[in-house]
Amino acid sequence: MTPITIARLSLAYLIPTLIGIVILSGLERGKRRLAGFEKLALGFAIGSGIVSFYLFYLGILRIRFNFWTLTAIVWLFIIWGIFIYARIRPKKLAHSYRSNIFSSKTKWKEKLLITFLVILLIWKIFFIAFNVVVSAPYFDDSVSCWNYKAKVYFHTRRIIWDRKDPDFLGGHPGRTHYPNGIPLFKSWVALWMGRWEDLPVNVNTLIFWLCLGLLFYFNLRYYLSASVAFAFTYMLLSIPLITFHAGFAYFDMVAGFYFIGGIIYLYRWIERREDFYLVLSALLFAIGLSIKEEMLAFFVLGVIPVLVIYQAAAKFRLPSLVRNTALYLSIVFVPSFPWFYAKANYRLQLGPVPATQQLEFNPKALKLLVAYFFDFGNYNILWTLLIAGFVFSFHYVIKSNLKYLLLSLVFALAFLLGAFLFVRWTFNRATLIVMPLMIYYLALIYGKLSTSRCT
Amino acid sequence: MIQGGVFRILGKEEFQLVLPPGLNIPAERNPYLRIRLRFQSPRYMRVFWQSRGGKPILSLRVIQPPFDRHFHTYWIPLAKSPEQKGKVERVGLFFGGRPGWIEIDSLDIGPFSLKEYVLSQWQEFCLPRPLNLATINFLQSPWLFNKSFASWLNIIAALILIGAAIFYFKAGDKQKIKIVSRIGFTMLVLWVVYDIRETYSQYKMVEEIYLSYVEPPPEKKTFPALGDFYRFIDLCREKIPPDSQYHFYPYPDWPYDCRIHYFLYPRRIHSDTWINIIEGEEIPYHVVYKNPRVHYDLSRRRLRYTGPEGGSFISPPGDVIALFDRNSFIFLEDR
Repeated sequence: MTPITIARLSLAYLIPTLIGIVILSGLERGKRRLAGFEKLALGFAIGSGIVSFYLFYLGILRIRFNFWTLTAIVWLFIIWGIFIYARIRPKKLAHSYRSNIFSSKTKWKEKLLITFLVILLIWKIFFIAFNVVVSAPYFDDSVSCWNYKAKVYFHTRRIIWDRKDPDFLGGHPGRTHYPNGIPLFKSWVALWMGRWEDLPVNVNTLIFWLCLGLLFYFNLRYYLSASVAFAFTYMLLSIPLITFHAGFAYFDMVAGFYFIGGIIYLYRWIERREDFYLVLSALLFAIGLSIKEEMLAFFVLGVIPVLVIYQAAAKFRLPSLVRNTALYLSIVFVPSFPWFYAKANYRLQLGPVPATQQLEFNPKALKLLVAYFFDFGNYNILWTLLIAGFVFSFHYVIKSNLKYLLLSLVFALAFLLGAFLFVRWTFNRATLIVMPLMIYYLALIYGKLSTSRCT
Repeated sequence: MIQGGVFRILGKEEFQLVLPPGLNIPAERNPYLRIRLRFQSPRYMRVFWQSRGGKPILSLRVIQPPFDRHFHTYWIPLAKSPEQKGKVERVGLFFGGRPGWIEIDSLDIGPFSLKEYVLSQWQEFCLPRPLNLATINFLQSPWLFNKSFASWLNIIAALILIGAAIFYFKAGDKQKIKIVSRIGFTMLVLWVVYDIRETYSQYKMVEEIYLSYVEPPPEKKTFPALGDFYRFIDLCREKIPPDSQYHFYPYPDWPYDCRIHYFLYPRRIHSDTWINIIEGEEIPYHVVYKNPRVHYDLSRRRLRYTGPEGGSFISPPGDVIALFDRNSFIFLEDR
């Protein structure tokens, strides 16, 4: 890689991150609500989503992707960024936690264990980076769906809406109905690079994996001691299938980022009732809907009921309830409205492919599920821990706000299991969307039951 | 047939392999059949044996090795119970499941040896996880004492948690906090134990890719489960202009069809499974990969397909412009 290539690659990823940070700072309105690294992680996740939406809107307007159209959005956010920077002092840009994992009270055994976990995580970064750098996209969907559609958008420099064109909506005959967030972001990267190469467009899974760790750690720090928060973050990042997917350009883990992000801030809104968190949660779900098709089901089943049930249980007045719900749903659905309109207009399928649309109970699947949970090497011992977590904490959880987190988790798992048992949906990969929430829930109940509070 | 020291047999349906008669193995010596084998398709095996004058006994255990390119070793007891007397005269193997090759590396009958058993289990445990195109859904857990390592750890975790739950629900508030902290630490240790083994799998995967794809010179590079396909892609990129269209004849279609479709884009493909050509424009290139059924007929200067139903010409005259190997080449029609 030449210095110019490295500079182009850096710009391709830094610009969306800065866009995201500007949006977050604008929403914070001068109050520090997020930690620095938390903001960085969210900045990338939100910014990459924003540029994907931007390219999609350009595509709808039949505008080609070129230097001028590509940089137009950058200028807009530079101006907004300067405006925000002038209004608030830089030190207010981020809240800081005392993030030292080791304190003077940390026992040597704990230090040793944490050091060992750090070494294991460093190895995982190397493992993911090695695969991203050395391998071309390897597995079917990463080749023929995510990267192929992105490559088509890059070469055609636009979105083609003519059904008869072989490049119609990314050109993949079986995936024209699939959301375009990831392919459009990959094409954004390639456009900044000036040519199509696998490495630059595939590095986003490594970045998302790191962002997932940052988001998770700094949010757990809100409730837990540094070492406990770190241990749970390590557990999340070391789930074998998550680490593996991060190295091979698959996006269930990325959908999991948006799902857990949306739930985390919805939960924080439940605890603090500050609109910032409600908006942030909605924004993450809005982008999540553009990542994977099934995010719609996870959102509708796992989030909307919780939002409504919480407000009803907390005796919100009707106007407030309607306002909050309308605000939330409009932020989630308005950005994707053109996409859903296009789907309806072109009669693109919504949900599983027709071959699997028949609802039919599959009794063999139960046996298979047990094997997936406990025999395969995908999840370490996570399912056993989750079951134990339910048993140990149920009496406590139902009396606290954690019951809303539990509700989201139960609804999401019910959808996942139902889809597998009745529609024969691919189970293992899809669980990665819910896994971060499973560990987050375990971490919070552990914190409550062991009183491992923030230090 | 014996190939490279390995007995290979193609099993189409259910079939039996019976060991030579007159074994005369004393049952009271607790004999074990030790077999090291590999299946090339999802098959299963059961063992049966017969004492003099007795009925054949079919072992309850169904052996279904992981479908992972590795040889696996199994120990099967040939005595029904310690009280069994007499001599085992006849031993056989029963195979079922889907058709495919079975490879038996070694087979022997002898008394149980704890040392050898532990050693063979350790070797099973250390087998690397091969990278293949199904790995994205299933990460095989290593095997240890006839169970996956993940199962063992889940069982251990469940036993500890059940034990802890009994104390937890009887304990006072302060004790509960201590119990939860200790459980948390123990579970983390179990998690780390699995992760260490997983790290080893990841290391072996990196090593496999490094040795096959990074280290070798360009003409010898291969990639796990795809072989020399990436080198073939490089050849196609070199010989087929980016604005061209091509026919593709792989054998089998998957996993090559969807990959070449991506890697050669904006060149446009026409194959049995993938089509993205612009209608009306010519398709002058024919790409053949690992397909013994399509060959170049030198006398007619055309491509000929030879299948079970007969042969036919599938192209107008032209020339092979790049030869990758005997069954992989690029053909260009005369213009």
